[in-house]
Amino acid sequence: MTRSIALPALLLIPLVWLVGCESETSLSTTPVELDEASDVALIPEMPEADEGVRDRRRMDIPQLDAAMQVASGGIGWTEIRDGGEVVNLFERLAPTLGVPDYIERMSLDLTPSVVFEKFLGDASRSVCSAMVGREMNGPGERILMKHVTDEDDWESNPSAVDRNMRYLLLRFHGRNYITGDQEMEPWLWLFRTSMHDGSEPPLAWHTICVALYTHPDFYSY
Amino acid sequence: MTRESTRRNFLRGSAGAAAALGLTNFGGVEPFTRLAHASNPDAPDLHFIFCYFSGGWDSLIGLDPRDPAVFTPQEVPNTLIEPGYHLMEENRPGMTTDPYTTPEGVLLGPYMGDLGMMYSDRLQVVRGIAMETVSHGVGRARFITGKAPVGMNARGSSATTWLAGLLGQDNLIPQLAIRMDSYNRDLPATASAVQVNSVPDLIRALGPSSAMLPEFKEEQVSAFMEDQASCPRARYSPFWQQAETSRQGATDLIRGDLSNYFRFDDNTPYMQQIRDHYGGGGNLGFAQRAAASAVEAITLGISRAVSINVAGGFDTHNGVQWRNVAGPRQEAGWNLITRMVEMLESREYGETGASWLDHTVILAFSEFSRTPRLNGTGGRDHHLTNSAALIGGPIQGGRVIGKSSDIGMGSVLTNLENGLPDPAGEIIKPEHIHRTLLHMAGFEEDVADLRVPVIPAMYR
Repeated sequence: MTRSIALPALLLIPLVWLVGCESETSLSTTPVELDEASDVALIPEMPEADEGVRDRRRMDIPQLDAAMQVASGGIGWTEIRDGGEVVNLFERLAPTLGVPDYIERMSLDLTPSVVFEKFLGDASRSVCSAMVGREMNGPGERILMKHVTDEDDWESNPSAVDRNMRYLLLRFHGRNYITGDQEMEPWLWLFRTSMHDGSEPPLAWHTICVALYTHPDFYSY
Repeated sequence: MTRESTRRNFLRGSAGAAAALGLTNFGGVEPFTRLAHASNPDAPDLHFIFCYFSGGWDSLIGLDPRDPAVFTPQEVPNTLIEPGYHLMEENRPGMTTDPYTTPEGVLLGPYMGDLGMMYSDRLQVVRGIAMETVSHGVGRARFITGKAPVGMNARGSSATTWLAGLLGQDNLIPQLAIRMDSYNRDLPATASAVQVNSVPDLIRALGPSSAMLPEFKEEQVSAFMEDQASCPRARYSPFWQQAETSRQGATDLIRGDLSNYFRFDDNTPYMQQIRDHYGGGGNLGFAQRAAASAVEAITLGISRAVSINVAGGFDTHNGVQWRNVAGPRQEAGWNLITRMVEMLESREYGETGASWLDHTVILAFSEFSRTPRLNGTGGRDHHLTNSAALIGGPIQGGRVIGKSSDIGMGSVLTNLENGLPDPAGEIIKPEHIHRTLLHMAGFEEDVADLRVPVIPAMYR
């Protein structure tokens, strides 16, 4: 990547804040009867963290492993050892990822720790790379690019990109958006800017894939 | 026995080699930072290594022995203490299984290894520690946190979390834990341990992914995730905020590319020296890699507090197990700590003339001890009264703090000012040690809410 490409593209990054991350919590005013004795704020206070809502909870490692394979259409985080043995890395790294052995470790660690995030990132990049390879090189099931061709981009076919993005957000995060939903805008922004350096659409979908897997909406509930 | 000056000189050379290889001051991180929040800014700049002996060690053959000439088999009905040293002779040919007295007058057990022989002047023993549990998980959580757990669940943060959180703001991995539990109930996520089960897993955690996106794409994903975490739905989720902090921490780890510092199998002169030192030139085992990692992480400025599992397999209820493995395994753990002490002592702390050992406190502990009487099989069961060892930093060596009773090895009231038995004193618990470590590091108030006083005798 050259600086000449990277710099203008990086300048676009702050724009994400301008397009809005997701729909802001409604600040609609509440009608109240005013009288001499009351002086109330018309805008309700935002709730404090943990107030009245259950905080998110992280999937455990077997859940995460299964969920990644379901979303990817069967591709898991694996490594091929010398001799051809295929090793499931979630299983291999389970003790480090907080799975108890009930000898040395008695409790299940469900915190989104640094090590968890690191290995989630590794798994995402590995699985997404395999998904893109599968979809570009074979006639098999298309998931990342189900509703688009390898050439479709925002300029040439925005409706297909929009439809594909809605499909992915439903498949990976269980969120069913309609076209034009404000919460889709950051994802579309990520897709569009992923092509600012001249990348082909499949690499942009690869980028989207990594973001989908590493997003808390995927691995927490 | 004198210390091995030739080994020390060699190690000094290896530290120089490390510098020559660019293995110090990585990434611009400066290990010699002053304390940001200490109430005593004149406190020494300290680092910590917690060494865990898993399974519940036998204090009688290590830190809290008894004279077999006094505690004879005939006296067992009166003393309720059965040292049983003669039962171990068969598996220690040509060597004594009796305790010995150090030049400083401290009685140590036969399996204290090189540490008792070489560093008795810096070794401090704390005896008569009340664990208030004989459950492995509870005792472990109790010692790690200094607070009684709720069931098996730790109720407070680990002592290493407090130390890393308060002192390690400038360390890339403030707290490292290798096959050790670590808890963070009170401090920001940045204080949480990078917790791994082995050094190979640590190397994988610190290295880049095998399928990274192009650099620009990685930056875009990172900016996107950061933006998502600033949305209202994320802002009101402590989980999401912790996840984002961790994600950024993971990104920093990859950028730091620290994995090379722990690749002890690499064919380089520096790593060969590491292998020679910890493994006698052969391949390093799990505990040896963990010990080497702890010292490298501390002395390279990567971490402020490291906890490792140095030895295991001490749950020797069975007599055959106790006679055959309790001693050698404990000795192996102490020998490994000795190697760490040697390495720390050989490396100069900046250009101060002091060594890293002067700025690093090693705490060795187990979840509880084993019964002073042998059970029906000739083994030992779980016992409430424990011991611990400390070495390095301002710890006063050649000294014993506290005592276990000569009848049944119960905890004895101790004067915390002088460390001697005192009916007006108090029972020492793990939290006393943690409070004292924090105090030595400059936190004179009870920041960790341990609700016990310090033990001045540990550092005066």
